[in-house]
Amino acid sequence: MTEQEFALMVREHKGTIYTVCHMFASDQDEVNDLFQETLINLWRGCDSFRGEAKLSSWIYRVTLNTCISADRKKKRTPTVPLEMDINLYDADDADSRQIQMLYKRVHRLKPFDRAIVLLWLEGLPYDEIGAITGISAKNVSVRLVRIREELKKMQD
Amino acid sequence: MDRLDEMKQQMELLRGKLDKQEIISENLIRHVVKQKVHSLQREAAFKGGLSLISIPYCYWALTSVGISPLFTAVTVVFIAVALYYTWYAHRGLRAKEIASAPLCEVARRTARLRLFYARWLRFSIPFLFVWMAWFVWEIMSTVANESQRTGMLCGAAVGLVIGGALGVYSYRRTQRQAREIIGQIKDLGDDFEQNKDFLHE
Repeated sequence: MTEQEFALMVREHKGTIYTVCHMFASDQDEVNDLFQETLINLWRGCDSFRGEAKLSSWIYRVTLNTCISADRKKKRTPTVPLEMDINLYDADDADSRQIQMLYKRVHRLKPFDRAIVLLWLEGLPYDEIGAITGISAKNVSVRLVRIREELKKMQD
Repeated sequence: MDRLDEMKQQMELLRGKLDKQEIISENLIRHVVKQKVHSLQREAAFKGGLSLISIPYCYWALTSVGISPLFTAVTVVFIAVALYYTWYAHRGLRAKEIASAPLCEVARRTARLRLFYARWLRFSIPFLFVWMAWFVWEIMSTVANESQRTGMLCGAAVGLVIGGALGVYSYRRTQRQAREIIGQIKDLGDDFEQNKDFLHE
């Protein structure tokens, strides 16, 4: 993959990557750290991507692995802010409040459940969610039922 | 409405917001640039090491066959100048500093490197032609043994072809990598656009 192709890929999937990073981070700095770390991991791994899985599935897998495995307390590296005029934490319009509610709900889930629910919210079928997270499609369905129950009990 | 379905709508709002945003990670570009600068550095270090070894070797080889001291001195000085020039061209372009240096400055130094390499070629190619002709003349006038003379000329010709091919390869590679570094930084946009005049030097 050439750098131009990589840049194009990042531009196409920026929303997906950013959403996952946002849902796993606790502040804007952490989103930036995770986002940049994910991009570096994607860049490092793009040569080994053989096209056996869908490109979007591979991007999800790398992003989720980066977010789940990142121990932000131990490893906090200074980064240059992203060139992006958005802060989903501080905005106060109606849409942003809805997004903040989504963030609160997702963030209360355990990291693995968070990954599953994010993939489901992105509209991925059960078998693809299973392929990305390493569990069976049936297991995905069972987990989603539990997540649904958990969300029902949650107070906003 | 089920909470998950509600979240799906909220997700749509988030996606809509993000789709309007242009994300360029400066840190990623720095990472890529750093890798390339590191590769340029490694290559320069290899060439420098080779030049350092070739200075005493050339001195020994040329004096041992009775080549004139002037020719030997010119050859050794040329290699020493090439060594110094390589160091000078790469000065200020260190992979370690990429993380903190302004990217515009990195692009400026890379453009300077390209320019220096191109200038060196303009000097070194005519010089090598003259050097080769002089070398042939030196061999013809100092080496009396016919077979030894033929052997040395053949050796020099083979060396010239291999050296020339490696030189062209290395030059093109360095130019390409430097071009890619500048291209990467160019992607960052406005700040670069305002300061890119140096690329046309």
